[in-house]
Order: sequence, then C-alpha cells, then structure tokens
Amino acid sequence: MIEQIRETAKKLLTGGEVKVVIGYENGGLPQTTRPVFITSPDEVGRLVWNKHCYANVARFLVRKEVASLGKPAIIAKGCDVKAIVVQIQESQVKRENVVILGVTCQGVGEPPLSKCPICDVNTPREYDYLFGEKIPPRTDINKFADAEEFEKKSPKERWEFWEKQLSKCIKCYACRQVCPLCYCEVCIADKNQPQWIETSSHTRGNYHWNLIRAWHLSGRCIDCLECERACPVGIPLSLLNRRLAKSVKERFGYEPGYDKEAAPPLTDFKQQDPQEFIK
Amino acid sequence: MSSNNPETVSEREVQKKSGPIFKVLDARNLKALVQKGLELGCRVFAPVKDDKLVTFEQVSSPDQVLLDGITTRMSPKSVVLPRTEKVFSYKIRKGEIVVENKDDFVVPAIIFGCRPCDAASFPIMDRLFRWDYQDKFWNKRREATLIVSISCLDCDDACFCTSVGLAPDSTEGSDVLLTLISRDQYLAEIMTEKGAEFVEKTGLFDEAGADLDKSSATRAVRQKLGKKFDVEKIKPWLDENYGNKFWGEVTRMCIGCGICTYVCPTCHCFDLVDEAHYDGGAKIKNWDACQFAAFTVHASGHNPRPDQVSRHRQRIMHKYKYYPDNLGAILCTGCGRCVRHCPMEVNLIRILKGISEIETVCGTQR
Repeated sequence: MIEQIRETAKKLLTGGEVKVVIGYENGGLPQTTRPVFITSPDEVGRLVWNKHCYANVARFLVRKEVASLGKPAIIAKGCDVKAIVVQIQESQVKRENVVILGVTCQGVGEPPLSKCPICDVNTPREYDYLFGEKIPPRTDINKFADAEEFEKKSPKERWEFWEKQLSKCIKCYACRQVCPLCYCEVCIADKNQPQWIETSSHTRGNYHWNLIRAWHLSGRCIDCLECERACPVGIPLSLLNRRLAKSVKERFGYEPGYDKEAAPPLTDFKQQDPQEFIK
Repeated sequence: MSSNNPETVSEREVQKKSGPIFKVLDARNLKALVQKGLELGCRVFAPVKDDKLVTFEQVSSPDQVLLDGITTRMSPKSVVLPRTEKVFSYKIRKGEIVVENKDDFVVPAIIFGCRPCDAASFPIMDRLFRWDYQDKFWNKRREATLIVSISCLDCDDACFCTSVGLAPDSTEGSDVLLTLISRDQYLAEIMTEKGAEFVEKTGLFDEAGADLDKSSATRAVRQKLGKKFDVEKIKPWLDENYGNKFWGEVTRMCIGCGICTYVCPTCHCFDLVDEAHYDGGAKIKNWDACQFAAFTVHASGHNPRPDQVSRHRQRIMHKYKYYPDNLGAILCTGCGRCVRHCPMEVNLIRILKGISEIETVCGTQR
C-alpha cells in the first residue's frame, strides 16, 4: 500500500498538482511516526504508513507554517478526513485546494487506541485517491457508551471525578494545539486585555479553560482523541467532548465530520427550526 | 536542614572539592527514608502513580512511592518553582486595601527518588535565580529543599544525559545520591552538609568500606546510553546559523503546545498575572512557555517571533547557546521528557544530532 501512496505522491509533486504532501515518516523512538512534509518528488521514499500513524495530520491544513508551502495533498485516515470535512464546512479549507489521499485503517496503536473499536470510518468518507481495501462501515457500535455510563453517577461523584482530573491540568494547551479544529488565530485563552480565561492552574482556572475548550468543540469535535493522546498529564478530555456530542446527536440528529454539505447545528439558524427547546 | 545564609554556587563547588562522604544503606530501608522525612516534619515529594502515569507528588506514606520507572512524567521542578503561586494577595475592606505578603511559604521539603538528571536541573537554574536578581521565591524554597536521588540502572531511547555531560550516576545537584551497588545495598554519596545532617538524623546509614564503588553498577546503562550527538559541535553551529533554513525543515511539525517546556526539568519561564475580584485579588506567578504565540506579543501587537519555527529555534538556542553564553551551563540535562512526550515526535535528539552532523553550512535563508 505504501508503494502506491508514494507513487501517487510522486506523480502529484512531479506534475505540479500539489506543492507538498503531508504524511508520516518513521519517528526516532520505537513505534512512533512523525508528521512529514514532502516537497520534492525525490523524497517520497520517506513516507510510511503503519499502525503508529497516530497524529491527526489535518491539523497542519490550518497551520500557516504548512499552508505557506502551497497546495497540499494529505495522507488521511477516516478520522483525519472527518476533521477535514469540518474544516471545509467551516470555510477553513476549500475542497478543491486539497488532494485527499485516503487510507483505509483498521485502527492505530498496539493495543488500538480507545477510539478505534468504536470507529465507523475505517474507509474514509471523502477522498480523491483511496489506498487499501474498502472496509464497510460498522453499524453495531455505540460511540457514547462511556458517556452514558458516566451519566449514571451522581452529580457529586461526577464533580469529584472532574475536580480530581482537572486539578492535574498544567495549562500547556497541547489539547488545543493538537486539535485540527482549534484553528482560531487568537484563542480566547490568549486574550489578555482583559484576561478572560485565568492562566493559573488552580481549580477555577483549570475548570475555566477545560470547559471552554470542550464547549467550543460541541457539535464540532470529530472524536479523533488527539487531545487525549497529547495530554501530558493524562486527563480523559474526550469524555467531556463525547458527552456534548451525545447531546448534539440527540437534540439535532447531527454528527460532525460525515457530510461536507451539512449545516452544522450550532452555526446555522432558521426561523423554521423544528426544535422547541431553542425557541 | 535549611540554612539562613543563601548557599551560593561557589560554596557548592568548594564542598564538592572536599569530596563526598560515603555510607551504605540497606536496600530494605529505602522507603523508610520517606517515613523518616515525614517524621522530621518535611513535605516529601516522590514518584507516585496517578491513574496511569507516574509523576512527582507530595506523599503522606512511603507505600505510595514507586521507584521502578526511568523518569516521572512531570519533573520535580514544581517543588521549587510551583506551576502557580501567589506573589502577594490583597483584600479590600471598607474602602481600605490590606496587602497580605506571603512570607511563610517555606516548609522544609524532600525530593525523594528523583533521577540524577532531575537533581542536576536545580544547580543549573540556580545560576539564573541567583544571578543579577536574587529571586526570593526560588531561593527560599531551594534552601529548604533536600534532594535524595537514585542512580539509573536502566534508560530508554529518549534518555541522553551522557550526551550533555551528565551521567546516570551524576551527583550534580544531589544532597545524597543513592546507587544500588548490590542486590541488598545502596551506596550513598553524601554531597552537602544538608545531606549529611539528614543522613545522621535518619540513623539508617552505616559506614561504607573503602572498597565500595558505584561504577560497575552503572556500567551497563552507561554503555546503553552511549553518546547520541557531539555536544561540542552544537554551540559553534548555533553561533553562526540563526537564519539557517535547517530550522524550518526540522521544526515544521511542531504545533506549538507547551508540553516540552512544561515537562522539562530546566525550563523555568513564568508569567505574572493579576487576578482581581470585587473584594480583593492576587498577583500570581504562573508557568509560561516560549512555544506559545502570546509569549512574545508586544503591546503594539507586533510579535518578534511570528511563527512556530522561530519559537522552536528559541527553545534550542536558549538551552544550547544563550544560557551557556550568559550563565555558563547548558540548560538541558538530557532527561528525554521532551522527546518522549511530544505528540508530534519533534525529537530534540534528532535535531541536535542533525546539527552535530552538518558538515557544510547550508544557505542563510529559511
């Protein structure tokens, strides 16, 4: 499969259709890969595809250090493609300005990351080229099982759980930086005249930041779990996001990342909206 | 344990010249040191398991302590440089402002079971905090902190202490360094008076025979570590290549999170913020990171480090050029945390190895 990917990358770069191919190369530590930006057809041999291609490289489509290289092709798993779909919906990426080299994926990590057993995009939903055998989407999964389980706890237990978890936060903002959908030029956390979000790692400051982050991703988070993978102190951040995603699905019948033509519920409003609870 | 006179760098060096005192500790008594520390009224910080990770936390019992890992997720620097601390606070009462200075913040602390790379970070940062401005927060905490470290007998692919002039059994920064020299015995190297005082108070150490030596115990790990890059070649290249296109090539995958700086035992930048409420407020000192865009934004809106390439270059320049230029030491102990925990595998070892292997100077534009 990697040979076909390299061949296509080479063709795209040689023909001048794209200026850069965003993908993965082998990392320096065992069982790691590193995002790589191939600008010369001679360098496509660096590209790899394996179980350790964790990073959601869609992040780089909205980073100026990479955007400045010119039109990209991107090697993307199903979950990465979901992020690209939302970037397209939110006018951050133009569909015609990116070549998606979709790869079918049976899960990353050994053992697989927690997102993989509940994945229904083993075959990406949007692509220009597809590599690997198509895998039919699974229908027997409950993506919100852990959020439902968590809801059964009492408010006191839930508060204590999050108080303990969020007390670990060191405000490194890796959860934001790694997120393919946190692309704001100036984040609310960086607005300091006045400082809306306290930078201190005390309980109030930590709640402040983590709840704002989760809230800003409601109806947008595509559950790629990059925040959780990056978090250096091991906070189960995606549980917050999944709980919000569950509400959005229940209330609006909407899941982000599947349809680039769909109107995202929290950024779209019509007088005829059927939902009673928002009138 | 704490001394009223600030211990200066030169005093430390004098002590080192007189040589360490050697003692031995029965391996079964290792965790008893934690108990003794608690009994002496110290706050004891040690590696503990927190959900899935091992990190440095204050402990209340020796049973919590876990000593089998290579390095902890977070370094023990927060014992001396907390991630959030109040510089002062004030209350507004009936139109009057009452300032509350917080001068009682020092309770003796023991950092127990850290690795030599973490212990070494403290004297490196002393150079800054005891330079032109004497930082009272750092110095008071530092004076009141005892460091009992344990030599490494294993390493992983991210470790590179030997490449920056340290070793898995360096005594640098430790008040007491323990090395497991046989199955049931630690060799203790007592480096400071503070360390000697603690060892005496515990009553758990015995006299060491003159023939005891730690080098055979740590030989295997030294060999496994090897040298990952030639540190001698780093600074001369950095001196000349601020604008080299190399920087853009090797740091493009950096997403600008603060993980590398926050897990780092030597990164020490902080920000002062005001948190005001209707009835009072506080001036607070928080960790900050050169990897953030807001770190260098001027009031005018101009940002002299406008992209991640320049921010990442700054981190390496600060550690391997500016700090050596200004304060005479590399601001890195090779603990490998930034390599291990970077979500994008930027990998400092790769960059430094790349620099040390550059034969010819590339272009000057990135």
